[in-house]
Amino acid sequence: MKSAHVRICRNYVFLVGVFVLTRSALGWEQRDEVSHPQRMHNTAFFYRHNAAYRYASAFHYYHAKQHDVLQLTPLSEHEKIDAWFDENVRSFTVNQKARTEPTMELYGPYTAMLAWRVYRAIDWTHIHHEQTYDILSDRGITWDRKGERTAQAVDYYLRMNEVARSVAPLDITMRRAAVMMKPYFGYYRNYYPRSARFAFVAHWWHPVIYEAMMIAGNGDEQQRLVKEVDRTLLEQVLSDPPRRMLLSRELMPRYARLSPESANIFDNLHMLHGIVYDILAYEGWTEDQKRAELYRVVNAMSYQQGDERYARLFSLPHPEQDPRSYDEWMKGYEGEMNRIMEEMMHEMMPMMMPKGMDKDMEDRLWAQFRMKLSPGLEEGEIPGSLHDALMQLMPDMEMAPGSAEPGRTSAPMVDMMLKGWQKKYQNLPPVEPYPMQQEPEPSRQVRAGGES
Amino acid sequence: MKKEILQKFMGSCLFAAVGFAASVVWAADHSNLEEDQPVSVEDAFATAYLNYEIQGLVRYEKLDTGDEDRLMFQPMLEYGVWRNTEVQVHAPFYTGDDDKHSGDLNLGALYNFNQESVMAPATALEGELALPTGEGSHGVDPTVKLILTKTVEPESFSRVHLNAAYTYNARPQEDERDHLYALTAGYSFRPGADTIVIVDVLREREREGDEAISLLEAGVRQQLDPLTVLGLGGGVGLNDEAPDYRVTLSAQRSF
Repeated sequence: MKSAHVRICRNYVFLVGVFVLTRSALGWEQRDEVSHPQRMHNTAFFYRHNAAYRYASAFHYYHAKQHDVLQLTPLSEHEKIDAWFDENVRSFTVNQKARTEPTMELYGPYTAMLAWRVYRAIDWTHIHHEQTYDILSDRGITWDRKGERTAQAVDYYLRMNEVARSVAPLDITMRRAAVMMKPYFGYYRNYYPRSARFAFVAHWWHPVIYEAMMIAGNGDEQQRLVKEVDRTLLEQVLSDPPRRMLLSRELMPRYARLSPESANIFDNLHMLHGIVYDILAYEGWTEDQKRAELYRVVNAMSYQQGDERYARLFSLPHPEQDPRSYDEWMKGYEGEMNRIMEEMMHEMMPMMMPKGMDKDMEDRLWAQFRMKLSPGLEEGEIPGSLHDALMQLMPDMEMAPGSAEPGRTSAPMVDMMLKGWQKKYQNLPPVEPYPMQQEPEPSRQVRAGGES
Repeated sequence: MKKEILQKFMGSCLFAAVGFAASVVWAADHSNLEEDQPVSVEDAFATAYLNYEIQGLVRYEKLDTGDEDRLMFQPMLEYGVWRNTEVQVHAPFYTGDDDKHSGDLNLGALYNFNQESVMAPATALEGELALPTGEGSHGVDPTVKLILTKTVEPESFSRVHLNAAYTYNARPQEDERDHLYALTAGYSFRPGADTIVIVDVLREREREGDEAISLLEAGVRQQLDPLTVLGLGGGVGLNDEAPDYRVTLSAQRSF
């Protein structure tokens, strides 16, 4: 009998060895999932703000499903698919069809098979989102301890999983990612404008929910303000979505001061969503090439040792913004996101056009640039990516090796852009920490009508 | 006498753990199929690293032998001990007309080798030891199970699952076999954001007698909150040796 046990154990170990060798030989990934931290505040957001939680779940449904829709449907049918998908996700959101937050795999299983690491990064950051909402929602965590608990959540997020997003501002991570000259850049925004603007709705809603809690405090005002934000979503934002991605520093200035790390993590995740959709929408590469590029971007925008020193280096253009108010400045092209993009373009130009260009060409270039960074295809806009448009305008434009190929990075280009950022912002004063000693009184936090 | 005391102690510990879990928060995932939650088939994925989960089930079975029936309670603890690896401990407790092996303590571990790719299924190996701590049990029985999972239709998140288990009956009693097997083929899909439906067919060679049982099962897993999943399942016997039918209510929560 003993020998039978030994034989079974030996066979078991042999089988494990065979599988491990097979996995290594074929380069298969493992899931490597990590649990949320076990804390008493878990599910506080779910139970205290259930309607808001369901909107968050609907936005994650949109994110998950969008991956497979783009990968599995032909670009030639983009108009039809964009209209159908927009209607689908709006209905899902308004009718609050998800009780709990779906993982990316649940509604995007094909992309889970194609590029699992992308979902690891997204789901892990969604867990962090939920943790930070829970902390602000939990009445048991006194106001003066919210910052400390949030810092613990950030620490767990960064320490436990190598796919954590960076705590550095998007200004830095976008330069590291160096996606602007890739042949896919802009595909999602240009060919699926309704869906892209729905993403801008989601990325408006997430930050303003934090900000509503920041001005409400721990008491019953919190439910009232979160509901008012949801009303703004349904009555104003869904019917006239923003035309650019809004950043944390614009929409949640108080929370960005409380936890700039968390604020930057969310901007980096939200930008990753857009880049992933661009890559999946692009049909010029094979699945293997897409995976290589997806993983390059996931890695480039991930947390790197020492990123903390940049966390507070951003400006706050609307420090008294009222989260319940959907203001004009939120709707158009002009804003932090496109400022970052324009800066990067300026920084790259000397490398791509070393001989410079005349004024007329420069005007045409910036006209195309603005159209490429706006949703949809406008009259006079050159179809395709930003790269396609610039090449058509300037056929002798010089492309650095690695700047357009899948899975490759042009190190000199990244270096040039990071130096450009340093030159402009190295002396920027860090944003001040947000005072949390006393619970806020909402009426004192914002002026009527929103911005001062 | 000693065995009875041990059984009562183990039962108390496991149910106390269930009770404790009920008083705190729970991150079960309804799409991560677990054996008997509420049907036999399981998928090839381990629970997340550092996730603690408590599971429990109540099952009523109408046995094939005349009017006999039995009720089973089974608490289970699961923990993501390393990445892609979970360990479990569970014990079934039976009341009714057949309580053999009631109180056996089972120690198991599942290791997932790979995330499925577009072509290849996800693969896992599970090992389990059944300790003879229960009613009429003899010897430590090891089980090895191969688990495969493959998505076949992304739109509805439809997946097929194959489980093939071999158990060595270390100290077979009279009329008992020493080599046992169980094969399960299952299909799951997502009818709604919070719901997974599962159908499976089980073919299992029983410890006693010469026959194997065949069972057709169907069940639903419903996510109640971010950390809690409830399951309801039923099965009907497809041959004379199988139970006439069974009904299972299951629950799982993460800490």
